[in-house]
Amino acid sequence: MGGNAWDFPMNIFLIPYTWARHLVPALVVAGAMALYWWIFLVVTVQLGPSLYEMGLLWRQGAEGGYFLIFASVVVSFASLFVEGSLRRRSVVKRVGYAALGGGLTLFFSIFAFLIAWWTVVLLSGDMRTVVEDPAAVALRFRGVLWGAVGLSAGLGTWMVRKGVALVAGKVAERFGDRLGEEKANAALIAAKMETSVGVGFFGHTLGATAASALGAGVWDGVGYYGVMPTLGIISQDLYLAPALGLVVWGFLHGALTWGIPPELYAGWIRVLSPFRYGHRIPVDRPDGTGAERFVGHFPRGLDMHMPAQNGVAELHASFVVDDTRHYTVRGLSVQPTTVKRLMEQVKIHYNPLSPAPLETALSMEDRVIMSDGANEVVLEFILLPKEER
Amino acid sequence: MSAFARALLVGLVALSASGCVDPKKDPLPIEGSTYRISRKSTPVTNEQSQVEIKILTSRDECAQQLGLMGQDLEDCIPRVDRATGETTLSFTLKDSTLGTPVLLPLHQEQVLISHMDRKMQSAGEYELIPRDPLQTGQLFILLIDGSGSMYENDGERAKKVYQALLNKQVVERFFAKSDTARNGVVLLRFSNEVQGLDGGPAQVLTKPAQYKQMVQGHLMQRSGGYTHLYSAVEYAVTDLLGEPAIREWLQVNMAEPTVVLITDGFNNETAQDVCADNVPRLEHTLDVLRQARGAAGQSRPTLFTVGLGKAIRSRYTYEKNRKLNGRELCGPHGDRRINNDLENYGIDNVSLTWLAEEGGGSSFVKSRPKGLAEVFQAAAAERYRWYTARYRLDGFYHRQSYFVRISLLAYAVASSTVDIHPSGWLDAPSGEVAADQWTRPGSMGRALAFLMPLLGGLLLLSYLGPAVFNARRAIFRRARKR
Repeated sequence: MGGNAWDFPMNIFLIPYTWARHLVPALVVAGAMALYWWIFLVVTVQLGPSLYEMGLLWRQGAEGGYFLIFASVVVSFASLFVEGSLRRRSVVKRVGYAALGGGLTLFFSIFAFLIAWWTVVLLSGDMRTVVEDPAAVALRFRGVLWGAVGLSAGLGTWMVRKGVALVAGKVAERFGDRLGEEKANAALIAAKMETSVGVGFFGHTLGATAASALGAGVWDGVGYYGVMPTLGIISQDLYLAPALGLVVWGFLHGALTWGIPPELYAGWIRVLSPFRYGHRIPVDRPDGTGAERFVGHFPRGLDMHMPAQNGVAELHASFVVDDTRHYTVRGLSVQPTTVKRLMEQVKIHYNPLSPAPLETALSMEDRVIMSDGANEVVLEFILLPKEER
Repeated sequence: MSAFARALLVGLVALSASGCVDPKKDPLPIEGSTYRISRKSTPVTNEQSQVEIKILTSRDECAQQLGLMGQDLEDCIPRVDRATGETTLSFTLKDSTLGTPVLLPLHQEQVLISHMDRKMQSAGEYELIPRDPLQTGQLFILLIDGSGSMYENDGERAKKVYQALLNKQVVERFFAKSDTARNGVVLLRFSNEVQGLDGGPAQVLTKPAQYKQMVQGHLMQRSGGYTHLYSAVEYAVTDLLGEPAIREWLQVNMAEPTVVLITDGFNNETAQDVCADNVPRLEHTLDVLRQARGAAGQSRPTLFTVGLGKAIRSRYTYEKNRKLNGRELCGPHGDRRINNDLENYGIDNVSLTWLAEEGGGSSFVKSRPKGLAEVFQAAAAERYRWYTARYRLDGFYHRQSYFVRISLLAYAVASSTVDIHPSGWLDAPSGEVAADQWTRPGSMGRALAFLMPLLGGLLLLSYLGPAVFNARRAIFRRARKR
């Protein structure tokens, strides 16, 4: 690339630590649902007559069941698969966890669908013939079915995530000595993180139910009213309606039930000053346990060396991460040390009258300015995916 | 494998199996759609119905029952499109007792299509497409009333018949050219007895010149006598068809006989006949007609009737199940004499209607030569092996199961229904509207054309995060050129 290459901080194929990172799994699950819609349509329309002759096509009364139950399985599978991909699990584990989630979802969905179906039928009163007509297109009677299988998808996915975390914790506790310290620590931290972040029961069940219910709304809305029908864009189209309904369901399921957890990211100190511009060092240890990185001009034994003539003291500041993945910066020198972020600056230079150094929490892209009054060095703190080296 | 897992697996397999179709019983999928259609159409049974409408519900039925292939086969199979609200069904007609094909010259006004209880003739757009014109010959047997009344007023009515029979289009239709079929015409005159127009035995005319010569030379020759109308019909559908010359011609040409009865009055066999006297006579003639049309191994005659003049009961409407009696046939005129009384007021349109209905044809009352020519054209109209009916309603009517009923409004009492079940969840890609404004089946490629940009868009969005992040850092000078 030579002299013309930009020094971007991260690989484009990785996901930056911004709020938008939570949308990436959602997009993947939405894509999986779009693919599922197409496959279901091809099987129904293209292969339907042949499957019918072989007695393998579903009865029309069961079509809704197959359609929604398999959709919930796809949601669960895709959600766990994308998580496995982000965690860089082995392919076997990745597929295994996803298949386990899909299987559990299948199990729950069958029961949930049947219960919801019979509930609707029993409560339908005079409308029973309409409800029992497999050809009837009505959100009033079908929305509950979407919600039921959506809930099941959330439940199946949650059980796998929770189960994996619990098992990881137990394994680390019981077999930690055999795993080695590093692996045992990693397992314990993973367990702690997975049980505390984004794996909430209510987050999964309510989020998944809301996602499928909104998907049902889109399905019915597009099928009944269309999308700007007066402009002739999509009007009363039950061909695109299920595609859009499933995509919305998948997207919201991915967005509402699981966010990309911080443990998949590592903090880095990166130089923004001309000397050593772009040089960066990680704050985290590979096993994820707490760590402290020092910056100064002392030539040996420091994690990051910056020259004294640029205003950096011998031991100027340190960057700390604890077991709960909170990052802080400590001012260790009496020379000015300032943390700047949007509309805020924090002075953390060492106060000799204070028994402990000042420190402040760090967040993504905070700048730390170290100075001797005349010269200054600017560092930044960034969180990058663990794969970024 | 644990017992629980095994039980779960067995349960899932059983559940899946219970959700699968029984190919011998369950509705079958309509090709190119997510709809299903009942395996067989259900004829609306009627003991007097001689014709059954068979709605073709699958590719196999079209291929097996009609022997269709290629584009004809594609045109035959059912089609549906929810986006445009279109339903397309093909049907054929069969003899309800013998199961043999019935070939009729149906046109749109003679077939009623109902979507549930909505009649398409008034509720939506509807089209009937006749398919596969008959490639066999037809023998047109014209039974012309030779009674004295036809020649009254300087032969006014006979002249109308004369003009109509020599109408260019009528002649062309009678002797329609075909590579594989040949038509013939038999001209008969009836009064007390039935004989050839020239007074000789019945003969089959196969050339337009022969035909014209016969009409021009003999139609206006005055005859007389009473109107033995019913006997003439009985003769035409039995004895005449059994005559060696006629039978042989029908067999050689594999032709169907079409009888056209032309009269200007009543069946009147004696001077004292009153209208009610005709009730048992007509019943007998109807029985003969039914037998002739239902007999196996024989030509199946079709009867059209034409009344020349004014109908004596112009408001009469025919109903199949009504019993024939004096009141039905004559209304308030049951005891009135026909000769020099009723026949002066009009023609017996009721008898003609009953005969035509039982004869599988239509009845007309015409007073002008042009109208008469149209009748001959209708009688000589092309017949078809099968038909495609298509109609369009708002797609909203496709949001639940529905049945389509196809009924004949002419020739016979026949009706058949078929159940259609749209998918309650999703649709195939909509078809493409052709130049005739009707939809042709769409391609599944359109679904792929929707899917690929959608997936591409989602992929693009997933890269948008890092792209925006890096761009923002470049703008705020946190990324530089090295």
